[in-house]
Amino acid sequence: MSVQQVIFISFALLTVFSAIMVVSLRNLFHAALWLVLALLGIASLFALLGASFFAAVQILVYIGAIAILLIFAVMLTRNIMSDEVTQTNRAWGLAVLLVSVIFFIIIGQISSWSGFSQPLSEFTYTGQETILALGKGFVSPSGFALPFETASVLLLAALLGGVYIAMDKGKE
Amino acid sequence: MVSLSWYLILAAVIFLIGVYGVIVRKNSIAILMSVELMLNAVNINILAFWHYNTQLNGVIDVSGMVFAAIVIIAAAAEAAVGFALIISVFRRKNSVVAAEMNILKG
Amino acid sequence: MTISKWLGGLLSNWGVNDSWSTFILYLIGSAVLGTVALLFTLLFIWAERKIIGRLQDRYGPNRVGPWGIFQSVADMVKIFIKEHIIPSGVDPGPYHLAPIIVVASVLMVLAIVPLSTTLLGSDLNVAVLFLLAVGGLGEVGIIMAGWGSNNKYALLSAFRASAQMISYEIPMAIVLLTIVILSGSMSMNDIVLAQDIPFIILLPLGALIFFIASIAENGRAPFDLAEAESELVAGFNIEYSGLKFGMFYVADFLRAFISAVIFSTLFLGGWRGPGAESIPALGIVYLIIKSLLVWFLGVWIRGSLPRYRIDQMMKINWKFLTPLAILLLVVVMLAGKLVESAGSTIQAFTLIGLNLILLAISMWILRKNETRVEIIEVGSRDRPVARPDNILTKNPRGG
Repeated sequence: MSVQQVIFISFALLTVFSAIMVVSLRNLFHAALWLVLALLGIASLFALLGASFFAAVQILVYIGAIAILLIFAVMLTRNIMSDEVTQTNRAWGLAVLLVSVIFFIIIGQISSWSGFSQPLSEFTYTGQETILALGKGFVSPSGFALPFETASVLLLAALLGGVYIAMDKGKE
Repeated sequence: MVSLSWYLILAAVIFLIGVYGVIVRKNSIAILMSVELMLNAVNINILAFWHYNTQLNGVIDVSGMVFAAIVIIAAAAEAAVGFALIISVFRRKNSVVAAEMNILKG
Repeated sequence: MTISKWLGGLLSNWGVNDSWSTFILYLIGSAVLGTVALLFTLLFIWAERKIIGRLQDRYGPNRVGPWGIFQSVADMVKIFIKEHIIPSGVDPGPYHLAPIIVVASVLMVLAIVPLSTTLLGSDLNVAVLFLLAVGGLGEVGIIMAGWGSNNKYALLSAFRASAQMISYEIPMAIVLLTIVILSGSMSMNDIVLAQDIPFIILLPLGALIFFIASIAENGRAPFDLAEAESELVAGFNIEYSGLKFGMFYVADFLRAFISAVIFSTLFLGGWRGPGAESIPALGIVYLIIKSLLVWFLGVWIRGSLPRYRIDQMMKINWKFLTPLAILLLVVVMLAGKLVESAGSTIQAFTLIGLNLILLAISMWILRKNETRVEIIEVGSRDRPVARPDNILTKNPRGG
């Protein structure tokens, strides 16, 4: 077994385990912390794929911002739903069944594709090439300048909308 | 060597764990966490295929990276608006249980 | 370098294949770097206490060893043998993990700092982003500490600290962007190599913003709101004792020095100096000297300025540093494009001029809008001042 395989398997197991903890734990604060671990595992998988930019952005955006926001939200709304109450609805057995059926369908479908077991070699791009390509793709008019601008407008709209919705509009 | 299938299977597993969480969880914050898991699974898939395409063609594939970046942007926007909604509902109904958010019901 | 080659040869002689031996070498390298940094911290703690003592007109540690230099060793021994008290009602997972995460998030920054021409942990191509991302990990550690302690003061302090860190990451990130524009790369090594003229000369305003933001990011005075004793007892580490408290303590002091190292890498040219290219060991010396200067400036500020209020802290960031940083980014972008074809001297002068103009304008606006605090004089009579030569207060026993 090569180093990449060992690293991949350990991070994959870590990620899957923490993802399961996220959806099954009663204590939401702990669930949020496991989510941080799952996101960290996914970031290291990105690094393993040679997408170091996305690994860093993943940690920066998801752990530095979204997970912190989640933890704040959990703390703000905590004493409403105590940890003793069951956190899942009645349909969990059905959901497990459904999810496993979908899993086998997906795997069955894509495993017949020819590129399925294509080994991924290590990247030769370790310098700035990938980031430069991404940056040029984002700003060149023949590339993805329009989606990029749209995304920035989306972020602005989300920011304003979030502030407006969460604003305390006086006491009714 | 790690092959493409490993990433695809892992992404499917994480995505479906997220789906399970969305179906089963009562608390809306927990539902948002599961949605984050699903978005991340999608990103694993996109970046795995980006690697595959780059390796196949020998040129850096830009569109894969742009897609992944836009998924992250969408996730950030979704988290911001989602939490604002949860806080707003929490103020009105004093509850974060998704099943009790029925103000629009006649 | 030669050591790593020798070790690599040894490992391949033992029948370890290539990729595994790289892995093992990285492990050894990071262990050595981390241990050396933690040992150095002992010295920094002593030096900082000594300097702060002098600034406050006292001696500082002076009992253990010459000039009290072994004071931190004695403290370390004390912390090691102290009982570790776990308060009832803590959340064990987060409570026990938090100190480790906080220390790790500080040490991880060292991985990307180029120590000399050949010696650097990892020439990461997104080092600048990594720097910010690791700060985010530290926030998680602090929130875990605050939550896990089951103490409202700890939780409040953790909220303050994380809000401060998230806010001050923004001007920091924007200044980092201007550096990336100037150097054309996100790798630390390329940034150092691009500094034929150190960036502090090209971007004095950027350096100022980065310095203030990094002080705030470290939560040191005058931004040490998270440990405001009069309001919050002692910060998010109230409930920690023994070695776990020691880890927070070490992380605090180490972070101060490492951010000085980052500042000198980004703005003062890192390991560059006369003769550093040919003798790599000289590079480390230059880097440490530069960082010590920056670090001393931070300690000086810590010893001199009073603490900000929380609203002032937020205002400084959102109403001053962030707009200024965005303006700086736009100006650097435009200026860089306009004088792209001109010689490097003209470019440098344009940048310096624009920076200084921006600084002057912002200072003018600040001056214009400052609210003058009414100074109320209590008591109009001159009171005798206690001085040895003052007859009114002179004490026959010498007081």
